[in-house]
Amino acid sequence: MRWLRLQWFSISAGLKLWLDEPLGHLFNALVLAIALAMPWTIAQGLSAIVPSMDRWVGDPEISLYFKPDASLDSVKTAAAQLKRDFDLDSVNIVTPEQAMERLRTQSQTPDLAEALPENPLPYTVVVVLEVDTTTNTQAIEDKIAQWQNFTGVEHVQYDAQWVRRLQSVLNGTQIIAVALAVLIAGMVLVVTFNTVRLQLIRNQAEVHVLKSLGATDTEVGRPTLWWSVSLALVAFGLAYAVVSGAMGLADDAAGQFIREFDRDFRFEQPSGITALGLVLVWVVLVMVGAWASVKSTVLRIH
Amino acid sequence: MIQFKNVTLKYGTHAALKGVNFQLPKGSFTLLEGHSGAGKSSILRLLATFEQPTSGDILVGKSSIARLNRRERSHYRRSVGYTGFDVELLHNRNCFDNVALPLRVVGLSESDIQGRVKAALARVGLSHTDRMLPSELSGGQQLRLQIARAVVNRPALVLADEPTAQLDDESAARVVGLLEEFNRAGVTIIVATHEAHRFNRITHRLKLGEGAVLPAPADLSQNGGREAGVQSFSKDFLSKAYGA
Repeated sequence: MRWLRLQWFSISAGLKLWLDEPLGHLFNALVLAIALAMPWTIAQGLSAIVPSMDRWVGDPEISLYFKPDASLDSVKTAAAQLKRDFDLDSVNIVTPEQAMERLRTQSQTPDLAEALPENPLPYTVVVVLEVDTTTNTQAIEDKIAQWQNFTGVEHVQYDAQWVRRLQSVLNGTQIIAVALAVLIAGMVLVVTFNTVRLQLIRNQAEVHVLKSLGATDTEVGRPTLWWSVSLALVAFGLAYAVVSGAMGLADDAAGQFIREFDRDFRFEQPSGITALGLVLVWVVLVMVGAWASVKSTVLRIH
Repeated sequence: MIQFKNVTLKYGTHAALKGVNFQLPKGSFTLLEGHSGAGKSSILRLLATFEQPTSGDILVGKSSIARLNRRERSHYRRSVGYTGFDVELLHNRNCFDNVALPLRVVGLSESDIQGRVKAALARVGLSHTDRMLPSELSGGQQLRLQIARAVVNRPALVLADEPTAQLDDESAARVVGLLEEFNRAGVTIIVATHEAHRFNRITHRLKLGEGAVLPAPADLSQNGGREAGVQSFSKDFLSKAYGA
């Protein structure tokens, strides 16, 4: 009971601190809210964009070039085997004539085709892979390694550069988001530390009196700690509003454009579970900053 | 019993107390006299553990308070009442809340707090001021309010630093009367003052000069000093001293 009474005394004393300087504390909450909203908005945006990337870039195509002496029958046999063994939906045979026609009509060097004395192009089997994500290049490369040893196949071509590039961009963005989150976590610690320090210095007389009357460092710091929790919760509420607003705006602007080629796309509002997990981490972070400040500042006050 | 054993207190190179020795019995009423800077307040601050001696030892009861850690110091302070310049009233809280602070610190129930604070305010004649801010009180009333806060936790030892300074005769007499009343009930009182003539019930005097005790403490009490330590006051004794 005594413990509960002490906590209640600390909570009410902590909440009363808001009355001392409501506008100042609200600005503090706003600073923290902006700090939280930045990485949260980026992460929320990425979580909408990354899963849609597959649909935007389409399924990867792989070309199996056969040896020049390979016959149409052997190519057909190989294509059927490919389709059967790897459960592929799309396996198309491109004859040397069709390939030459494409060279004539679709390439940027049509003269080259005219200059050739005979058609040197081999039979080609074009396979369209259906993989879950374009970011998983390893699965594709495993298949290529298998097909390279297929009977009659001379060369397997798969332009994975664009996938790798995309993967790098996404990885980079995620690393930037994580780095930003870490940086901002550090900033939150510093901001909270300083805010609480100023708060304690402003209430120096009260801290001094409480300590003189027999309050321990923990008891003196506890109201400030509860105040920091309330500050964190207010800041979180503001950040939640900012992220929700940003997602709404992004969905109205960029979302409408993206839906022209991806009808399912949507910038989602932050979910309840995400918010709950985040609020816990956030409150702990703010409390750590506040507690460090209480420890060092109270020691100096008395 | 309170005992200073060769206590020195230095602020930088300046020695506020130089090898001070004295001994005071439980239940005594002691005046610390001397000019400004003689070391009166330093003795009170050491007894309140606001300072730690540079060297020497201080015993309160059987316990040394010279080298307490921060937590032990906090717990010790709960058994000491202090009025003076070092512990001001909080001017953003009303009189009731000011007096209730020591009780809230120890986590007393709200009903106990109500009872004890009202009794303490009544004892110092400030029952009507409970919802007023300290700044609305006169200087004498503010001092009485400090005394109410100092005794609300039923301490065995009360330290008063210049409790009659800047008070008119009537207010000073009231404050002195309160301290003497608590001493009559058995509370050990130590007062640092320039105005010794205002006090009647003195059992011991310590005259200080340049950080040293000038003569040995004289026992002026009628019945002699008591032997038990400050920390060993019984509950019955405290109830008798503080009422509610």
